[in-house]
Amino acid sequence: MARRLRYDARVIASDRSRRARAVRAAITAAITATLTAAGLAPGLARAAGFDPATDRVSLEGAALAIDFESTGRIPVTVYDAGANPQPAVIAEDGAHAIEGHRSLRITGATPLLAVSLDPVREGLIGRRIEIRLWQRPLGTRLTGDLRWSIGNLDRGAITIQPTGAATTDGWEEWTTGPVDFALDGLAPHLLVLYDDQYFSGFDFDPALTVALDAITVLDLGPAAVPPADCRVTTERAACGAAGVCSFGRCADAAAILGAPLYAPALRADALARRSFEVEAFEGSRLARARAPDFTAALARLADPAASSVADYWTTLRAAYAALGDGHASAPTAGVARAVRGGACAYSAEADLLPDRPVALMIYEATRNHPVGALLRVGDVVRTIDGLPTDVWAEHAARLLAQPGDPAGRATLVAPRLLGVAVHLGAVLAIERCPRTAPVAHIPCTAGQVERLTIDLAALTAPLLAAGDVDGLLREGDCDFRFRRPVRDDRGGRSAEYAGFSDTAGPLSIRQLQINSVSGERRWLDAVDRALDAPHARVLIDQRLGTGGTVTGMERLTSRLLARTDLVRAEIWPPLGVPESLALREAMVPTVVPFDEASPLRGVAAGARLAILDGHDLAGNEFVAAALKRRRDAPTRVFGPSPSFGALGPRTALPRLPGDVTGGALQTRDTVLLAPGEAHFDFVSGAGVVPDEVVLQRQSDAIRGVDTALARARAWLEAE
Amino acid sequence: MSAAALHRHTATLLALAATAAACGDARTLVTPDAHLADASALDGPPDATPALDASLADASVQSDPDAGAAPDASRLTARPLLGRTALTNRLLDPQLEPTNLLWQVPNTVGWDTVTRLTRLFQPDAPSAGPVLRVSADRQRPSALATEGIAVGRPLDARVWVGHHADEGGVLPEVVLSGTHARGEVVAVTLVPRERAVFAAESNVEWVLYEGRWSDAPVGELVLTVFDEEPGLELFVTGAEVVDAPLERRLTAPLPARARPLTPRDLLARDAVRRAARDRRTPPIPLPRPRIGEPLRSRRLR
Repeated sequence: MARRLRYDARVIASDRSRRARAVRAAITAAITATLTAAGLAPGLARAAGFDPATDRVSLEGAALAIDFESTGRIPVTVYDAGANPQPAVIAEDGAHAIEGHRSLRITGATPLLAVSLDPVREGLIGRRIEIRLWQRPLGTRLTGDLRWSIGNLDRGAITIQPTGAATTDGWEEWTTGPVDFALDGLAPHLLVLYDDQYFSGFDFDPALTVALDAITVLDLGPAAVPPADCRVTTERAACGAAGVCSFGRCADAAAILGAPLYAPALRADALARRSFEVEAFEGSRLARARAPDFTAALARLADPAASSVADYWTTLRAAYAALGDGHASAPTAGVARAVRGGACAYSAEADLLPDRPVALMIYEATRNHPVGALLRVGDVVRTIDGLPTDVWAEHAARLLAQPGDPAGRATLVAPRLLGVAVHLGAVLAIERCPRTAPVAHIPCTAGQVERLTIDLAALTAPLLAAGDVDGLLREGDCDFRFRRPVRDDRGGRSAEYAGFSDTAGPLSIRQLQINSVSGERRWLDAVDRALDAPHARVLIDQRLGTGGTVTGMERLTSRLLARTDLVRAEIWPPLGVPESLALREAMVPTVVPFDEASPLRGVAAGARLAILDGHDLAGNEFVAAALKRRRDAPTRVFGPSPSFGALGPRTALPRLPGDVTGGALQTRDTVLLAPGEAHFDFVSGAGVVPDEVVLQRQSDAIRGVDTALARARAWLEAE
Repeated sequence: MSAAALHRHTATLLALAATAAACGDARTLVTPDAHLADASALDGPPDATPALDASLADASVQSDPDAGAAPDASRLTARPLLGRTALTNRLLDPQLEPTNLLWQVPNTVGWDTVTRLTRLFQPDAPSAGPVLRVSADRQRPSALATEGIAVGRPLDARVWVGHHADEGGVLPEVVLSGTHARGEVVAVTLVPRERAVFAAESNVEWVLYEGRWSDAPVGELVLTVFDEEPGLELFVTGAEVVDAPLERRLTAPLPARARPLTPRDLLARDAVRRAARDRRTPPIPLPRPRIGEPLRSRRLR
């Protein structure tokens, strides 16, 4: 039976002496030789510290080792869910001891654990380290991270992962993998471990337990990444293969991006499973045809020695993006918190600059963000790190992979550029036409253009040094609307919002503003009230279209579609055989009948309809696709570019051990059928193409005019 | 999938099959990696059952945490990423991921509304992977259902289902349903092995259900565990549905005969379909816990 003991253990040494390393190397070599001779997997040789002669973990040679055995103070604290320190419980392991006789017990009642690295912290700066631990799940399992934090900003974080080494009675070895201990001079104080139930949508059982033992911090030698300045365009030369650029300084790629699985056998398994998921579950017919390319790309990542961490994530994310599935996303292992760009910036028609480029323009600046404070509405980002923004985006591809229809990529990536630029420490070249009304529509001459250079690395360096980082985390709540027709405050941007209003005058327009196509009752009621009569002119503004439910999509479209327009949408899984009428009849694929039984079906089917698209995904795309392609009454889509092409339900895939998120795929595809139709024309993969491509004009922006909204209203009134 | 990965998992499954097929007692005491260690080393013909039996005998001595004996309890072994579950599993969520809602307890007329699901990691789970537990506070029989996708090939299915040892009770029924390529909607009932496997430390008696579906289903698959014992905690491992025949399998699973869907099967299928139809983006990942701040788990009580 477990019993309470003093919360104690011993710190073996902060010893990086040649002798200690030699001992560890000898032990490792001996274990490797033994395991190899036994024919076990090569990855098992990574279980340095497990002595097969004794079937116990050896702590010798570690820079820091915690064994939960002796009565000296140990640098470990456990907390309850309310963040209150609690007495730790150490238990006798009996026959299951893996090191010494005892181990720490973590329960769901004390789900958080901090291992202080302070005893060795100073000595490890400038070194490359790895932290290993053994856990024995007795109902639950621990996960956790090593973090490089400044206040609320995690500059870097690396999540523990299994090594593949285990014991016959259930102990598992987990590791951070190798990583430079200091990130641009910042060294972590803690390894934070916590009950995996924390992430659960299932019940949290406080009675579940896990045993923890044999925590070791290994000194692997000098740091791999040089302390140097960098830009993303030069990072390989400046930072080496193990590094990436972060806030203009070289940093360990695993700390910034997350560590891929480190044991070759486990990595091969993970990549094989991810390839199989695409081959077996991908629902978009267009994306399924690209599965062989996906598998080939992932196969190249199987050997940890053959691809750097940065290459791994760049290739993996690019492979998911290349599927052309707008719902696809790669799994993640990093947990570093993203910084904000300080402004909402989108592709725009910069008609006040002499060359009138299509360029990244500021729609809205976050005043209390250090970058946003320097920007104004209508400012144009001409280059980043001296390159056109689209060229620069290619250098930052690991952070800007964009799923879905490539025709929409530039537009859909645009709002992410500023945040990524801040994260990387890039240099922005801004151009500003300083004129104001009433001559705002007259372009500047070259001499009138004000030019502003913002070195984001230089701007953020003193903030990071001072710990003044909250401003960098301030959210902008961006959307693709410059002005919202119904509700123009923050509430009008929430995913569940739906509201409507009418314009004044004889050609009144019923304006419905939505974001997601929510299935929430209030949202559904608002749509019902907005489309309760045969209005002559209807405008749907869904430029912040984040998707939603089939129920929400069905409710909205059914009010605007006549029964003769579209009778059903079918949502099909992959079959592996050709679709057929017999299967259609037998399988009864998930059918969207467009609210056939409702008295409001088609109530506004005769309206002249304008749809404002922007960043529209999934359910919102479905609305635009169904109405644009199948509606008989005049219908026109206004937007900056094609949308994602994610016309089916999204399925989040399970995390594999070591993942923070498991990624996602679209596991179904869609067929739209009018009365009498019986085809199998699947629609996913190609985004909804606007009938009228319209970008926000710079001259309108500085006058407070929403270009797309004005254009749509004009079309509706032009009868 | 790489040849090495295929080999590893094949060996694992070989050992599992050997365990199920060769154990002489009605109830066998195991620890999970006892199979795995021997499976990893097993590179010979698939009838090497004596070695497996020997390992099981060792394991039976080692599995009691308070025994204080068995000096070689912690033998080193290799643990594949997905435990004993095949990488080519046609079920979407063999990891029993708690945030994705890919496992449903159908809430239908006649069944209790059961929401008390917990994902467990047990040292002696027969799958060497996570386990889903359905709590015992149900009033009526219930079901646990999950989804997969088939592409017109014969399938082998297997899942471990358990109750606490010595609680008795009626064995659950495990059903796989789908559509034949020729257009007939059918179900097959998996066959429980006669011999249970006892996980001593977790005190769970596990039964392996298997079946080979020789027809070639296409599209949606639904695997459902129907449990007639609402007063007992129900344990289910990540299920496995793979294209048949699996290479080097020791014994072919028992053939499962297709039958029409019952109303109960239809309810389970519809529950899974509803979930797929209205599946939204999963919750935004929680921020990692920070020292000094209360935890913000979705279900923390």
